[in-house]
Amino acid sequence: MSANHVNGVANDLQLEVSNLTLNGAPKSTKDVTVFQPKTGTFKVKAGLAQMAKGGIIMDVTTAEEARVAENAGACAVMSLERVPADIRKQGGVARMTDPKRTKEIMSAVTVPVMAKARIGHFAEAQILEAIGVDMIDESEVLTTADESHHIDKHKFTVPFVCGARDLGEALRRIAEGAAMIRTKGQAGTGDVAEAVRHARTIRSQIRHAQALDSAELFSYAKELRVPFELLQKTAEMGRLPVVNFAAGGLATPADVALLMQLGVDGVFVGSGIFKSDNPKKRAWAMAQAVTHYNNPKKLAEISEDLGEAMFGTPVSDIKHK
Amino acid sequence: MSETGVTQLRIGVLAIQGAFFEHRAALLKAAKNSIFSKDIDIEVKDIREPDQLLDLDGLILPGGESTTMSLFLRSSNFEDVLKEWVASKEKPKVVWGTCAGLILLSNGIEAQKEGGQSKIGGIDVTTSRNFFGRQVNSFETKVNLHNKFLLGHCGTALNGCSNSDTDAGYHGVFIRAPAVVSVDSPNVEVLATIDLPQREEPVVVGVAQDNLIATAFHPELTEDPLWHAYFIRQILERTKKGRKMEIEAIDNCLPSQ
Repeated sequence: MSANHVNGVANDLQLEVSNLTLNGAPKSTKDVTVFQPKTGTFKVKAGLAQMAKGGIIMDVTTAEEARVAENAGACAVMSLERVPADIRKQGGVARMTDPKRTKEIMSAVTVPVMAKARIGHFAEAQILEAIGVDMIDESEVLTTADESHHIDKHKFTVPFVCGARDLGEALRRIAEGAAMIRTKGQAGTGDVAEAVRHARTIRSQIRHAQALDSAELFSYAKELRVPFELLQKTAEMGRLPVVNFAAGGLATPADVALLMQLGVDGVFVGSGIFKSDNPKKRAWAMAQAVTHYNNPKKLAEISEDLGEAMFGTPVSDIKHK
Repeated sequence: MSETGVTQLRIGVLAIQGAFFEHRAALLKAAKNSIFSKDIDIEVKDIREPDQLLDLDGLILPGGESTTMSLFLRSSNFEDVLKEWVASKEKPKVVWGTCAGLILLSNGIEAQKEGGQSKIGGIDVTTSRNFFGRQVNSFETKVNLHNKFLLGHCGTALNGCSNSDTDAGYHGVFIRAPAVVSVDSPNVEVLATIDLPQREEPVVVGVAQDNLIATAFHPELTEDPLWHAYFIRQILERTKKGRKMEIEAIDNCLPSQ
């Protein structure tokens, strides 16, 4: 065991998460006769993400928006200073939300409240943990605080979700202690293309890893710059070893269904809701879409008459600027 | 169903939101690695529409966000159908709620969302939402078992290992978990409790009443399928009883015919 201590308890380096796949017989059960209550273990952190599966997590900036999101069926809300579309438009440095605002959101709803911290900004993360948020998003949507280091997430009791564009990035974040992964996508654009690219990339890289023999897997781990054991586990499971959501540019129930059918466990929606014509109705429709993602008839019903979706910026326009 | 051969069981997992896949995986593990009174073959179905309930032998209400599940159940008329189905007298079904599912099955709820929450009810207990606090207070601990079946068998080798050690426990994972704050009827069987350093009394975290089972923790987040095996066993028992009742009912009818 290494120095990954939380409350005097070593975090399990196996990063044990149970029953994410159908593979495998039960392992020998742990001896629980001398088990003391432990908080902040990887199982407990990853467990919160498992509870969010099949759900939609919505970006909110005020208590009022948080209530709308909760009443629409969001399984959690994400507190942030400005939605990504505004950050994109207004520019400037995007930081953690005022803790007071986040606390207002926490007292307005009963669902878990997540909040964004800048990449590498462990002091913002400490503050968020101190006010008691349920999960921290170490997010590229905010301005990066440390160009070369991510937060050491093993040190925290609160779980983290991190963005990833490919398998290497995802597994590096998990090795740092992320209990949940989301695609990066292109937040604030209303264009789902990047989220699709990232979800597909991760999926096909896992398939590739599954086809390799052990010698090849060693060099693939080197190529991806990830711990071998984590890659091996991913290949065995045929999926990321933690819960994986889609994020970045989802704006319609159909976008939700597309990503869910590409195999993600749930979705984040940012600007797509509160930048649309009828946030209440759209939020409700997108929440329904996560459950009924495989039922086109139902999707047709819920997609009807939602008003204008957010205007959006095609990702290709941003790239050519 | 026939006395000889394989007994088919159809088990549904409410798949609105939450760890429904984990329950599927744990059920299949339990069926594969446990020994029951009969050979069984289980089919696990994701339940998203009320009409999918009809031909099930048992149902799991998984952990997830109880507010989210409530809203969904209410909107689609699911709540009423589910309530009727759970309370159905003629063919008893076994229903097991974990975490959010415990809240749904409790007759009393404390600290609920403003404006109330949908509930199915059926177990005479009062449950407190997020009893232990927010996520930073989520924890793992040893769960003390108080049921003969749960105690007498350790996990995977269900018949092979008779465990008389009353200290044997179960690995309990509690995520923003509720707890039972009062047991309001003698008909409620307390299945599981935990001891917390800051409390003198044990906290009740697993209960059963008639055909309903509820746990505040998440057996689907651990490797040991003991609780899923217990659930399957309860279904087998109920099905037997149901059949017996049917036979008795027919017998009772005979003289008057």
